[in-house]
Amino acid sequence: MIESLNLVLSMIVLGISILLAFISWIAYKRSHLRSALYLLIAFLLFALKKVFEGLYMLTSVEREALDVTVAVFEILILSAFFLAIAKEH
Amino acid sequence: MDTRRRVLEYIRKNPGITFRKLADELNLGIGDLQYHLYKLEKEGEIFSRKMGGRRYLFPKDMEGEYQRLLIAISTETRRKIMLLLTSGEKSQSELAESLGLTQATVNHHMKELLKLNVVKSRKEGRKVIYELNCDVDTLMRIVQEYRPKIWEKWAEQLVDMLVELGGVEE
Repeated sequence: MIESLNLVLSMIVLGISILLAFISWIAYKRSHLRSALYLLIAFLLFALKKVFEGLYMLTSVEREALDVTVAVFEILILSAFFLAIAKEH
Repeated sequence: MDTRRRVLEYIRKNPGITFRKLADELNLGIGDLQYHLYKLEKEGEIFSRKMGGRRYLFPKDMEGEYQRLLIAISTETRRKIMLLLTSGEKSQSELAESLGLTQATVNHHMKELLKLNVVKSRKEGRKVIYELNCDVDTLMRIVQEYRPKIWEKWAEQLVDMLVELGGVEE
């Protein structure tokens, strides 16, 4: 029961991050703002992170290896968000 | 052939007309019009762009000018700025006040519009005055028909938010 709920929630999170990446892509295409590009990267990385986490549920990936991969993704995502908001005129 | 010439002449007189409006105004069937537009595009007489759920038609000979106009109106704030300028020239502070935006945000959008060459500016003392540098009728025709889809609206809001945050243009 908990596992199914976890899977459904993961799919929702994946869907939302892909939608946000799509919106950021349109925003970038229209404005050529670099911060929109960083947001696009952040949301794509977030979606990818979710896929990796999902792989753990479906395959027999080592827990430690997954933890390290997820931590790397989190650093990259936060860096992309930081770049998106830290830029100045 | 006569119908095709009539379609071409109508597009030349009304650049930025939408497919539906053209069909209505020339009283042509959708299939017929599609065929003539396909031929005209193939012959290099016209070009079309899909935006905000509408297909806009333009004569090919001024493609660059119209492309710039379409880019210019592709975010909500820029559309509002362009519409404000249709009523006459305005200073940056007047635009900022009318739109409830900071001068920095308006400045960013004006730089983009100047780069696209759809507005021009001149200095008057310490003020910068802006005026339109495009065909007002075409601008109005496009903006009146423009109906962005929901995700396009979200993208426009995101652009405005990022500009407010201080995004850097490429």
